[in-house]
Amino acid sequence: MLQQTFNTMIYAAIYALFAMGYTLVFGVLDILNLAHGAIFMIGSFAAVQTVLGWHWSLWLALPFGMIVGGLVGVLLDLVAVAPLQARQAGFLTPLISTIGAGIVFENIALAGFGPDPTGFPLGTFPEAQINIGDATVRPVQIFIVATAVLVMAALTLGLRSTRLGKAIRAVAANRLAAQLMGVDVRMIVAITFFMASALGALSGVLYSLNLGQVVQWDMGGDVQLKGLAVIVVGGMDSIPGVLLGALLLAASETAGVVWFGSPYRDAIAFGLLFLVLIVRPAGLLGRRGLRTV
Amino acid sequence: MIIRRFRTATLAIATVAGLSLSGLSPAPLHAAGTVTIGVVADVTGASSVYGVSIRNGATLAASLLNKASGINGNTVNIKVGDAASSEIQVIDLFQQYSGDSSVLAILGPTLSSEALKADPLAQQAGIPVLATSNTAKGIVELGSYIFRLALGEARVIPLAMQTAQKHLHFKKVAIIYANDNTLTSGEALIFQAAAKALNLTVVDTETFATKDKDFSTQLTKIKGAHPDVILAGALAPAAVPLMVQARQLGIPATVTFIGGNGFNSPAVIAGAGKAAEGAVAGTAWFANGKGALNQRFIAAYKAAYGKAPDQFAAQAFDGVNVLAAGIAKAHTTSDRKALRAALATLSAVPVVTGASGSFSFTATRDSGEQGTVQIIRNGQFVQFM
Repeated sequence: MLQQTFNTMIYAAIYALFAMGYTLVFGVLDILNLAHGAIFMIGSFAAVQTVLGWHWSLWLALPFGMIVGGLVGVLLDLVAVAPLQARQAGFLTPLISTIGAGIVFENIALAGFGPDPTGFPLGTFPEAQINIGDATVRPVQIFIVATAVLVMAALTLGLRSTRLGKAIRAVAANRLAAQLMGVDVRMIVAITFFMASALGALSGVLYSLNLGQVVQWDMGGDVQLKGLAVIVVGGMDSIPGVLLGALLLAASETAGVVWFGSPYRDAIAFGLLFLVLIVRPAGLLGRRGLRTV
Repeated sequence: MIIRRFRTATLAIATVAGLSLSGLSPAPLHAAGTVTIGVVADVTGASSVYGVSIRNGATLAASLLNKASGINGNTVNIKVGDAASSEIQVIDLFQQYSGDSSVLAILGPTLSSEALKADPLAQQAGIPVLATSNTAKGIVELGSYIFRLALGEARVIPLAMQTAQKHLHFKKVAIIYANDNTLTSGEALIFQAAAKALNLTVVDTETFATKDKDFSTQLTKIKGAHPDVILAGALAPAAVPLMVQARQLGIPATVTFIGGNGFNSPAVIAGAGKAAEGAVAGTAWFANGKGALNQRFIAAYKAAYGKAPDQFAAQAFDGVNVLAAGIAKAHTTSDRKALRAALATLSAVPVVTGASGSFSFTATRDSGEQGTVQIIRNGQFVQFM
């Protein structure tokens, strides 16, 4: 039981970090960035490449993966989102163009790195088995959960109290009003894409650190769906909602396996999420319904 | 202007696609003196770990045949179609090759799940199909034109379990398998049947999806059930994290993994490293076999592709040679029916796979070979007897 609780926390940390990227972009632009899964993959490849190919230390590889992911996010905004927004394309067109961009990114990775899975060499993160009761935890897993908690706290505080955070929230609340108040909306959108994508890349790097040989061109597909489920349940634009949604999804997945057997995992998890949405259509902590009135 | 540019681009793409379809030998399709074998393989996409090996093995066999005067003096032309790990694409290629009278036989497809959908089309069209990598149940049963060189899991897995049982004397087993794939879910049934035959207790059965990478929840349950051995129905991309995570969760190295066909890839050793030590799997091709043909195959493969071959390359290599023996016997470049009849009565074709190195089909067009069991020791596949 204790082991399964730890397993749940690790899943939840990765889901939450990933889904946060969705939430940031959705909050500011009201669009879903469906290339986010591809950025998860690109960040992982970038970090693994520095360790495997150039023998960097992990502590350089981690920020490098985030920066590469973030820059690809900015590129995505420039190429696939901004031109459409400038033409008042609504929300569906950018959604499709981000799917397209994601496919392009994945195929570039396939062409560049081939189909075989790769990953951080064993021992990139100091390995040890920490036994708590009959449960086993690895240092990297503690690091993952701690990072997720720290990053989320920093993000919440940053959005609440820094100048940049206030500008982001202003653009999210009302783009036109923010512009009239002198906020450089284009810049804020680009920064948001950078932050969101760096978070996606970070979750990818942590995921790869935890699981080893899993870095592959199509690794983002699964987490992409999980991330969507998390933000829909948590509330599309709420950061605490993301945390809650991630915990709920991870816990129900684990519970599905433990109590009903692994064939029913996704049925239990998504069935539960479905029930949540019937009771709270805007998600657990979503305020979207109020805001759009 | 835009339209014209678009047309040029389409033409260019079509030309490139055409070239890549015709594979390595750009010989004209209907020229006299050419025998064309269609290869349908997942060269890209999720199953490309296997598809690339299959393409390489088949292409290598053809180029060696052509260096040695071809088949009855005719050049062998391998026409590789990339099915991109898509069942629809497999069906498309099967239809295309069935309708193309220059294609004498099809080697492929990569996965059993693909074969179950595509082989009936070939059966209907009357074109011989040789399966070199489809190990699930019910392949040769699809019809009289469907032949199989791959050793069925139903023969290889019980052999691996018996051999391991002889050394390890285990009693309690846990089964974990991908339940969304024909091959691996078939393996689970074979594991169950073989466990029953050996009087073993199945203490836990867990499933996952083929694309899953994190098995900690399932492995935690397995750990709690204290099995002596874990029977794993997993393809290589899942087998690696499965074994690594098992050790990380504290399942001791004395709990041996016994796998199916998916374990027979150097990628498993390369990926799982120390966690792969002691893993056992039955195989159709023993990589360190000392036979002269096998040594020649390995050397030629390394020279051509810069890496060691795997079981899938070896079987595709044999596949082309078996088809070539059939074609030579049938004295034809276009008669599919004659080829079918010749294949059914082939005997003792020299091959690199199988325990005996000399191949014939059974009466039901299945492989007449025996498998070998291998165990991973010090990062190498060694024979487990």
